[in-house]
Amino acid sequence: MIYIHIPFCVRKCLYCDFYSVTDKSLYRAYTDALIKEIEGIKGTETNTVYIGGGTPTAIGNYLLEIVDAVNKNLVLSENCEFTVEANPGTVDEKILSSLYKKGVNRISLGAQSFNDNELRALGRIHTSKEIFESCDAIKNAGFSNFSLDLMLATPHQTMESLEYTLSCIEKINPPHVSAYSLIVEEGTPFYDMELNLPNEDTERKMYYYASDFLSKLGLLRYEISNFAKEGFESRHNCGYWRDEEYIGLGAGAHSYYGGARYFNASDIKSYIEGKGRKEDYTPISEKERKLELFMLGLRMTAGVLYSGEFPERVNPLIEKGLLEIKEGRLRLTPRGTDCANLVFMEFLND
Amino acid sequence: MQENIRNFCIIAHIDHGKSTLADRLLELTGSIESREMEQQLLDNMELEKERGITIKARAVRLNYKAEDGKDYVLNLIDTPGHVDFNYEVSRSLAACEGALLVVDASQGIEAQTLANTYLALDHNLEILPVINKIDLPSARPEEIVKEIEDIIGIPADEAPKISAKNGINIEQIPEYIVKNIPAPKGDEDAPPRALIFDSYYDSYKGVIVYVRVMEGEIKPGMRIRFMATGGEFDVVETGYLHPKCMMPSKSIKAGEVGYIAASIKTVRDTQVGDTVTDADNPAKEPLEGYKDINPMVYCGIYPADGAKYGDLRDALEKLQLNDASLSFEAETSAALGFGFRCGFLGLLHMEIIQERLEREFNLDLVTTAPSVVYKVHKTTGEEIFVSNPTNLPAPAEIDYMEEPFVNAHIFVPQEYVGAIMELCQDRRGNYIGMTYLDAERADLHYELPLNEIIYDFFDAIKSRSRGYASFDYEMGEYVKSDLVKLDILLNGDVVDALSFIVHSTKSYARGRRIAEKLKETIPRQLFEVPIQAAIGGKVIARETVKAMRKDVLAKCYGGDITRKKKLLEKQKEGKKRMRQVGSVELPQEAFMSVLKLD
Repeated sequence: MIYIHIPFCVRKCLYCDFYSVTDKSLYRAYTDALIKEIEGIKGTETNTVYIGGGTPTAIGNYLLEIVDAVNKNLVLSENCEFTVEANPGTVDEKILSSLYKKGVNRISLGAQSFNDNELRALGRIHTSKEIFESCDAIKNAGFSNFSLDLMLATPHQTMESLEYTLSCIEKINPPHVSAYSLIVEEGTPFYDMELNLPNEDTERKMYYYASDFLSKLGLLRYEISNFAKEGFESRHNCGYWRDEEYIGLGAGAHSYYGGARYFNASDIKSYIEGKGRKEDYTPISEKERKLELFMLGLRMTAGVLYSGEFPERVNPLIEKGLLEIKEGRLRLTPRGTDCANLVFMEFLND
Repeated sequence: MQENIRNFCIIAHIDHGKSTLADRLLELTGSIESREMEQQLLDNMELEKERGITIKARAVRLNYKAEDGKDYVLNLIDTPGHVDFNYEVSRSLAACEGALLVVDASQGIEAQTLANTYLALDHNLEILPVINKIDLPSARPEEIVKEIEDIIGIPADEAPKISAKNGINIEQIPEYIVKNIPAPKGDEDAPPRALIFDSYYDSYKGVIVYVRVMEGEIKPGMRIRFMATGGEFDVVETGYLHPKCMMPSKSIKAGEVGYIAASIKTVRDTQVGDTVTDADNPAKEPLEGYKDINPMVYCGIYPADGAKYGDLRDALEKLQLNDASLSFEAETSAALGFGFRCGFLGLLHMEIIQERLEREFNLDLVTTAPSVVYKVHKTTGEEIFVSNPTNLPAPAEIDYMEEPFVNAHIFVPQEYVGAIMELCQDRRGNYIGMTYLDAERADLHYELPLNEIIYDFFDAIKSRSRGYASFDYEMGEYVKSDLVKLDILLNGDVVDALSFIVHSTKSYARGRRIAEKLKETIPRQLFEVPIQAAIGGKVIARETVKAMRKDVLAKCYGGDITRKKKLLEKQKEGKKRMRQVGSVELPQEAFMSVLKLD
């Protein structure tokens, strides 16, 4: 699994806590540095590539150079899932066609909402009309596998506006949807703003409403916030939840292999200068790895194969009705899905 | 030579400049250089500095060459400035012949100052008024002089008008002291009698006892006896209290202020107010005024982490080495586990101890609401004292109960008199009378139940008078009262640490308010938590903490794992600080929430 980070955006969204900048003058140097890092792992085999951001499509033709470098240096398996994240307002059919021709076979589009006032409140640069246009472009370019990101419990959102957003999804009919409840993170503009947010009860109603609606469209929930038609589950992301190893390239990217997590420095300028590449790392002990297997794996609807591990942690959670064992697999109950942090925190190493 | 000694203290309201004046006197008499002086040397506990109050008495000896060409010894005995330490103040006063009464030139006399001034007059001290902060734009020294003369009835036209902060007219003070405060006149040949006004534990020398020798002489090698506690010790060292060090001397004599070290292991042997005498040639009578002081306010103190019980006990023992008025004994609570029921002189004393435990000993504490000591007359005729509501006998066993009252004086600008009276009535006060201090200010005299003022009375007074009222009280009598025990039930179970005793007329309102407050304080749990307030099994208020709806991180991908784990760790840390009470997780604030109801 390869993750490539493009830390550029046209403009920063108000809720976003990912590392990204808007300085176009850095595109060239960053692309060069990134290609160098890709060349550094020449010959690596992988069955998924995920180019995320930021907004990878914000950098236009530089993105194509990066995709070329991936194709040239890495050994992609047959049926390799090759995803590029995109945002409406930064894509047209031309670039999407180019990406498709270069082997990219999955687009993850940040739609978030189909209500323009909600989009504005989130600080998005696009309108709902542009989402439709982007989706047409994606389909026309040849992509059959694409995903739309939605946000729940955002400022001004109501049950009615969510129904409208979902009706638009129905029209577009994507094979994959991610629906995230807004988390107001420290360090984002939202953190210091007075927001008109739906309360906890409404948020859950929205989540269940969206979940039911999507399942009727054949989009089944396979992770806390992810929905897919059969066979369209994100293989790359499932890899994270199954504790598979991955290499992250680019500023601020994380890697996980050989029993440790590595971090690239997130500062773009240092990255361009070739500094801080995987210098920082945390070893993951065998016990911690086993615990993470649960902490991450339980995010998935199917849960994890279970044969009695960590009974002192698992059994009380079963008694509280947060976990259940079904057909040899341990998984979250519906209540456990609502309050999953209470489960996850029991799998922290202590 | 007693005629060259002046023993004095400073009486002042909290921020009227006592410590600053003490600093200036130290500087002026060359006892200490200003540059090497940490500001406000006398208040040398960290907490005192922060709160601007003096908790324990200190003393310092100043050398001064007066205008008459003679050398004088000025002993400044510092006094605690808070009503909780009234008794300690009285003992410090008893060690002096005079007192500087420092009054803020813009604010005038406050209740606490007046209370201490009366105390000083009771001890026949010469009161020397000093008008401070004359450099404030709002200073009105002439009016203040008149106020002092009217209210206290002593001449004040010769009072130095100074600014301790900016060193204005400070040089007048030592002369003023020498000329106006009488020299001590103790019989130097009598069997020794020395008054203990403070003591502290020193890990090398044992307890250092601060005394004012009234008669006779105490010297190293002498076997001394503490006349009230009966303890006998051999004096290892005597000496004077210089600002920077203890200065050993051959002896300390009648009229002098100094210290005694006698390898004493605990301050409990050296009670403030006790008389030190020569065991082989004892005085016939001890000095007057000794009192066995009892804690007025109790609360339960528990370690947040049960495993720290031993650490808490060690910390309390260490604090007690220097604070004979702190008492504690082990107790157990179903809700809080093992802890201690601690007794304090008052609320401030309680807060200071709690803060010192947390700050100096790094302990995380859960404290229960403070309680006064109730007198319970049982139907069997037995009379018991109850300081922990949990120990109150069943209603059927109680004939009647009594609660302690205080005598309170509140000085308040006339425009707020109505608001303050309303507050006092609301707190079940008995109006005794009101006198006008001047055209603008009244002295409201009330008898108030102690349990009504240990919560938030001081804050309430301040907020109802925009900060202008001041308040002082002394302990009064026990009075028969209609009291009930209010229990709090969470999820159907009584939480012992939340029970408290309240007057029956207030029980319903209090119960409702606490239930509401707990609803705000208790975080949502996996299940719904009913909160009930009950008196003798009858539920009088009910609230519900709704079940948690949602607690889930929506996103977790490769780059998030480390960060999300940190978030979860933080959340888990917060959960760990909660108290598991039955099936309910309670935050520590919940136990104090019964206090802060306004």
